[in-house]
Amino acid sequence: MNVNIYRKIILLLIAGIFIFSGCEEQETRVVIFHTNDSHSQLDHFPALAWLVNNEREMEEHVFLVSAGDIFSGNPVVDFYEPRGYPKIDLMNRVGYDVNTIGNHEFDYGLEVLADRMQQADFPFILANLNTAGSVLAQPDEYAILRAGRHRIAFLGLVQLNDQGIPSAHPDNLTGIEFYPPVETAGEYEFLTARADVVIGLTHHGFVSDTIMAARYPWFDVIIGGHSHTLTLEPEEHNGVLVTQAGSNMRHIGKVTLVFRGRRLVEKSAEMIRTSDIQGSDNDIAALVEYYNDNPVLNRVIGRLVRPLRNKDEIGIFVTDTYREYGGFDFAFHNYGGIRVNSMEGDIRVNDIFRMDPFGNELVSMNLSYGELKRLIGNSLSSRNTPSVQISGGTIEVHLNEDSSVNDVKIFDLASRELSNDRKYSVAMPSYMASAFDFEREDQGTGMGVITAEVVIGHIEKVGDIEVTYNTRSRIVQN
Amino acid sequence: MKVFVNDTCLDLFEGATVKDALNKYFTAVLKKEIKTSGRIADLIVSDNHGNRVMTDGSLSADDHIYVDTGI
Repeated sequence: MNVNIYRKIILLLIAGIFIFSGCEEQETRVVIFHTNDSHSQLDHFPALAWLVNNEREMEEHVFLVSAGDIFSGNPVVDFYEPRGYPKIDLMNRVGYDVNTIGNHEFDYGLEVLADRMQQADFPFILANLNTAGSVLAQPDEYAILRAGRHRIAFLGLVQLNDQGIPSAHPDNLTGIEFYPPVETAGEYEFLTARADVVIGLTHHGFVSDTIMAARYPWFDVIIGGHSHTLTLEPEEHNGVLVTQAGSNMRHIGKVTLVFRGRRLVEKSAEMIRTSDIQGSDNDIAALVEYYNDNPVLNRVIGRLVRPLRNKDEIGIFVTDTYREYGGFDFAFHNYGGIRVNSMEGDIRVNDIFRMDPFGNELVSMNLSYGELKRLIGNSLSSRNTPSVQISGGTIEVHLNEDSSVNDVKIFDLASRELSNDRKYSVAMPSYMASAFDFEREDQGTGMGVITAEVVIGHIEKVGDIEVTYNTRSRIVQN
Repeated sequence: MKVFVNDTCLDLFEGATVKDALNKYFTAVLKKEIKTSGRIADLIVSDNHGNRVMTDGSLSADDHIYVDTGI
């Protein structure tokens, strides 16, 4: 072989290397951080900001998404004026890219939701509703985010309860028509033609996510919410990666997509415990501190004309507000759920959350007289006194000579004993509806409002509170 | 709505959370009252896929959850 042949071989090899490297498909990584059911929590934002910013320094394509229920659960945000403002402000600053509308996004009412959507620098998406008859503008059903030459579609869906609406107060959903989420998802297969990856950004619970994955394998990933499920290990259902990050931002989900050329060749999920994040964004931390010092919580919202001297009197006050709230025949509250022994003078928002700190939801149900008797009869203390306060009537516990219970009687406001011929509308905290064991036909429906909020709303409306104290239960020795 | 705790069927109000289901399960089935909601929040609860669910999580009809009752 002469020198020329050597040169030709070397040149061919070099050309081959160039040709080969030119044909090799470029690899692109896309990182998607996700939260769900953060419920007005603010305290984890500094760690989240640090985590996301750190990733953005290392990776070109980093997104941050939310699978709904960003509101309700922290009075700092829920009673801020305007309501929910701090949450959106922080989500804007950390750089959220999209949020699915969860059932609790409706809790502040449609006008406030519309304002918060305006405030947000990112879209609120939802596919299974029609807002034409309401004051809320129709949200986009999906969002398509660009990662270089790749397009990633996120489809928003929310759960519906047995009444065909999301679990929120019906008054906050006026004029909106909702459609079943899983069936609605089937109408969006066309997204596979518009995007390289289709992600369900859902708020209808993990079980519904697995049903959706079984039915529509064209979803690449489902990032869910609502059931507060924590998928510590990556899960694939029918080839669809399904993940959810618990609740209250105690965990941050991370989905990584790897493309070769235009093809998605790898998808993975991991869960990051927020308390394990090593850094904190100082600017965001300062803002969280500012919002947590919410003066609204210390604002006087009303005044007790006469002190409430014990749990019996406080119980009268709160059950009267429940009964008035929904125009119920009767309302109840368990004494164990009242955590202060007296109240007097000016009332602040914080005072109500101290009195009723459990975040119980108000539950309505229709009960017969017999069922009401069982509720009271099963709640008697060892001294045969009811462990609940009543509004709308009075209770008599009739004892035998040996002090055993003979009967429980309930009377309405006109002192007439209740009738066996009708049902009565009743309200009580969710703790009573679940932990008080009394047989009944109607298990009840959550009203989408917490009991403390009902009391606060009443005080704000009335201002000066004058509770008429009267003994509402008595023991009759036969 | 009906949900299942440790495979026991319970009737709960519409909109109930995991916490409500546990309250009912402990008082109505095990006849044990959990005195504070803080203790409920400490329970390890999982779904029928083995995933952990938070006690403030929403339930849907026919959901199955599992809890270690040794508290």
